[in-house]
Amino acid sequence: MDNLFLANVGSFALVLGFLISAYAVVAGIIAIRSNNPALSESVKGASIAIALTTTIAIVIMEVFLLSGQFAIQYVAHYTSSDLPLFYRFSALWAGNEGSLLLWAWILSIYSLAISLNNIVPRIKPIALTILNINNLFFLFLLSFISKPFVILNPPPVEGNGLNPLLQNPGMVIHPITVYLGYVGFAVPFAFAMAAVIAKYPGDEWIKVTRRWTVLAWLFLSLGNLTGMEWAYVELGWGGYWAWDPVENASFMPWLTGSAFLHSVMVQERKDMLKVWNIFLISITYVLTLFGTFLTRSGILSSVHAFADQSLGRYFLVFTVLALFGSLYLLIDRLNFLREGKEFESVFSKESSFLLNNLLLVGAAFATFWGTTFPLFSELVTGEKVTVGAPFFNTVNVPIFLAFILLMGICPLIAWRKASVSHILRNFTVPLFLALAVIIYLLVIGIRKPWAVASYFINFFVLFATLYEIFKGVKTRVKLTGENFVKALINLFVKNRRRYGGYIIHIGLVLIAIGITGSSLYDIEKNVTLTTNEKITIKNYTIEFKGLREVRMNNVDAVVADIDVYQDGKYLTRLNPSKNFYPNEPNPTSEVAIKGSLKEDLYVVLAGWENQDTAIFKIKVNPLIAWIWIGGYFLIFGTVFALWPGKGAEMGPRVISGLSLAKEAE
Amino acid sequence: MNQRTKILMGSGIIVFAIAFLFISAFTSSGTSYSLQVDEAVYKIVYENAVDKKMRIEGRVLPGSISWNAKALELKFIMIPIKGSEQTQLPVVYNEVKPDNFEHPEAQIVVEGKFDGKVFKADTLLVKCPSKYEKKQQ
Repeated sequence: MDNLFLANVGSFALVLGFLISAYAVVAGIIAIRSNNPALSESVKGASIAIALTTTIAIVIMEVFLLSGQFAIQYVAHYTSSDLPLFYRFSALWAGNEGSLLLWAWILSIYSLAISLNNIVPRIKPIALTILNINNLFFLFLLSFISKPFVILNPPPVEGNGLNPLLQNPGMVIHPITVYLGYVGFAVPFAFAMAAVIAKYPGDEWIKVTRRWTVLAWLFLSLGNLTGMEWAYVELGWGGYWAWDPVENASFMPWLTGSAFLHSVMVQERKDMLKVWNIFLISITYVLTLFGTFLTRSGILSSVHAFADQSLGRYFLVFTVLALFGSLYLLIDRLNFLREGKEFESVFSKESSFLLNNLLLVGAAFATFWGTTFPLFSELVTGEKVTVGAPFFNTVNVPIFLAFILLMGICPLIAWRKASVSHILRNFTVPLFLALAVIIYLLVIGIRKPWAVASYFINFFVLFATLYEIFKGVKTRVKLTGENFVKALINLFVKNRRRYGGYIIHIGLVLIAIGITGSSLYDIEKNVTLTTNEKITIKNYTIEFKGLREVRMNNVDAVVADIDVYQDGKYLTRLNPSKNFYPNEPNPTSEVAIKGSLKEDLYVVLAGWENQDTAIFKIKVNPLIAWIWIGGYFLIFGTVFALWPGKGAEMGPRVISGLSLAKEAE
Repeated sequence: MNQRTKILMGSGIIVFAIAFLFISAFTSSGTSYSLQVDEAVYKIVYENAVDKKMRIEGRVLPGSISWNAKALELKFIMIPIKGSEQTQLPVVYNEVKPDNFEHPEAQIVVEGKFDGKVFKADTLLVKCPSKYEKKQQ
């Protein structure tokens, strides 16, 4: 088979997928209106066919990429013959067309899974039709606007190669996890809309889509974390988050998605906050589309954006349609979404969830405002005015601290009506432990007010969560006679949803501790050193031993040898370098990091004047490792809670040490 | 007062607090004009925009770069991305020279203030360092 033929098969598959999606949408609507089972069955067939067409297209693209067929424009743009196989594979999501193809493929597979499952039969056809509208949109883009299978004639002998910055494992995982997260939110969104359209009063859609929602949230969290890590180790500016529009684009749906995950619990238990939940999931989904619009349109100046104006326009139209469509439906059917119950007390778990939601949505709104302010100010005043990182930090830091504090208190508050004295009793121990940590920190010189506030809150929440787990174990030991370790394991395994949540909370606290340390107490020095010159930063002494040229695989590198001494004792040798990739006019910096749980020593070779003079950027970033460790907790906790089987269902209404004992009796 | 009112009032207070935080952050942290080089030069010359925070997009005038490694001082002249090379803005940046900075097609973004003589940049970003962006156009 020649390339031309295969490429045509790929293009044809996408157009066919587009046509079948169009059919599936129309047939789906008619089937819902006329209650025609044969037609519904054909929509199911269409789902299989759509998934098949996108699978064919993506497989063909991978075959082209892996075998290096530079006659295909996409392959020529993003790979080269010396590119390792791994990065050839991941080049699928290095550019616009490939990312869209990946997106469409994931969406079609998700749709297929929904179509084959017999869940909430009354509203599923509507949800599936909404998903098919999404399929239609993506396949439309792939068939007519952003075609992946463009053939170059004559074919180039060699490809351009993959951007060296993308040749990093973090950059391989980051995009795919963000897409999985983005697309994942389409499923709960579709079911929420279906429930509204059908005026379906039940909240099965929440139970059915919970797994999808949590999974989407996990992927989005992972996407943000891997993006941060990539920025830190690869970009060489010494940080991991810059409030860049593209970062904000994936942060906003994470915030509203987190709010949704919590507020649905209130609806599950109490039949409340229905309108709010539908609003939240709609906003989350719309924000994923909006984020894609921001990244694809190049409308805001960002350091790392795709540049393709036309694609952005289509995303904007689709975003606006999704936003106004869902808001219209919600307002039109407000009266059927009447609340089942009312708040019974101001001091209850449901009200603390409400507070949690207000904070998260507040942070999302502030981020949205700051991100889009240049656009709106230009519309209104004609001048583009930007807000910088200080704005985002000033608003979001207090909100997040309040949010974390709530994270420690909320799990201890009972549903319906909580007793203040009971709560206070539970907080005595964590409070004292947190105070002890603060005194220690004050003694060693950590005295910036924001740092003290943040550490106090974070350690309090950490201890409160651990103490809560400890009490659960103690009760279990008393009731069952198991030993401590066994009781701990059983406690977790039998209530995975609850304790998975606690693990996630601990992860977030660790991340917050890492962010506090690394953003408030980082030290930076930019220096020019000649061979054998030394410089001291904090308690590190750095000695520049010289530059040398190295050739590894396809990369020419200029490597600096640096000896690092800590408190006068030899610690390690670091080798920051600048790499010259073939076909690349400019070198890429490779950062050297000596990390520990306490701090990272971060050295960038910024340039050189001659054989004996080099310029370095040297940073000491405290506690940064805890951001990644917290990330592992978050992943583990989520998977632990989600894993199918016993223990993953909703726990009893009240669990605390005391009530557990009562229930057992 | 029933619980519903209490909850509404409580929520109202929280929303109010967030709004207050929001407005104070917006006024205190400062905004900056996002401009092209020609717009910035116009503002400086005709509106006397000295010591105002600006974010300026443009490119580097070829051959205008002077780099003092020992003092970590990068001087160059910024010109508009599109349009005349006669519109020039001198820039000083006291940090390490970023990767890709000398790429002939690099677009750069500087943030800082004009001090009456030169534009003192606190940050210097090189946009879209990858070649795939421009080849698509």
